[in-house]
Amino acid sequence: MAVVTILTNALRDSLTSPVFAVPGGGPRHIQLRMTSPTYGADPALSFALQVDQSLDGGAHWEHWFGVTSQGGSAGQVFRGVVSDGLADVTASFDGAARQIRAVITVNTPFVWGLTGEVLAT
Amino acid sequence: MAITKVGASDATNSGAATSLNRSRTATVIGNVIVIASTCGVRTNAATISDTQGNVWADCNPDQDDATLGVRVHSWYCHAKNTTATTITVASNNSSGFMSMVLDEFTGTHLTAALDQHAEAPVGSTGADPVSPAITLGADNCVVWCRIGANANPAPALIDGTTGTQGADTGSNDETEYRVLTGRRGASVTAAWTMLSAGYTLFVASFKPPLLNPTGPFPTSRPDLP
Repeated sequence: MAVVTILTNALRDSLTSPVFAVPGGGPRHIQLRMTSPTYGADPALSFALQVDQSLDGGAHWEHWFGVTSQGGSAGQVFRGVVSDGLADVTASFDGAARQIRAVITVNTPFVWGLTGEVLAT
Repeated sequence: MAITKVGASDATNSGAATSLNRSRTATVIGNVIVIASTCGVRTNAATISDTQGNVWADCNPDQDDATLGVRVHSWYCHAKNTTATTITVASNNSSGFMSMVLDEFTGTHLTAALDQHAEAPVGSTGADPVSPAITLGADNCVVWCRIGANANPAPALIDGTTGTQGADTGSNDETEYRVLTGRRGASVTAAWTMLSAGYTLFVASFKPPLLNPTGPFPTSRPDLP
C-alpha cells in the first residue's frame, strides 16, 4: 500500500487526524511518519503522537500505541543510518482490519504533517 | 495446562523517540507479559511502567553496549488484570532510535514464572549468533529469546528445533519462543543464522506452575522436634 498523506505538511498545532482505514490481511506493519522542515533541527520542539484504533467502524475508539519525541536529533547515526530526527513509528498488528486516528500534541506550534503506510512485511 | 503464547505479539519502533507505548489486554490474570527495548541513545537506562500498576521486574538486566551503540533491557510482569493497560518504555534520554517488543504467555507460574535468563556479552559479533546456555530449572518451560541486529534473521533454533516468531519490528528487533516438553536440568541455547555482524541477544525461560513437584523427599523433618 502506498504512502498516504493523512495530514498535509502545513499544520502547526495539536489536533486529531482524520480517520485512516487499515485494510485486513496477513501480518502487517503500519508506519506513521511525522514530516516537518524544522523539527529535526530544533531541540526545543516536542510532540506526543497517540494512535487510537476502532474495530467497529468508528463507534468505539481505544488507545493502540504511541510515541513521544524531542526535536533536534537530526544527524544522529544509528546502525549506519543517518536520522532526520523525525519520529517514524512502525507498529505491528494482527492483520485485522481497523480504522485508526492519530492524536498529536505539540508543546510549541511548528510546521508538521503526517503520513501513513501499511507495510508488506 | 501447557504454556502457550496468547494474542498477537506487539512490536513498535521509531527512528526518533523519547518513549514508546502500547496498549495491551491480558487474557488471564497472572499471564506473563515480557517486553524488551532497544535505545540508540545510551546515556541513561530505559524504564518501564503501565497505567494498571503491574509490577515489572528485570527479565534481562540493562545492558549498555558501547560497541554496537545501543542500550537494551527486558522486563516481565504477571498481569494483575484483564482490562486494557498502556505500557510505556521511556528511554530517559534525548530523542533517538527506540524499539519495544512484547509477548504474552499463559499457563506459566502465576507469581514467579521467571526460571533462567542469560545475555550475550556486549559487543557480540558474528554471522551466526548463539545465546549463552541456560540450565532449565523446571520441566515444560517456554524459552523466549530476543535478538537485535541490523538485519532480519532466519528463525531461531531453540534447544535445537526451530522456534516460533513472536514480536517483530520488521527491521531491527524480534523475538522467538518455543515451549519445551520436559527438559528440566537441560542446557539450552537459542541460535540464529543471519548476515549481520553485530547483535544483542537475550534468552530467558519461564516455568509452569509446579503442580507435581518431583525430586527426593526429605528423610527427616528438621522443622519438627
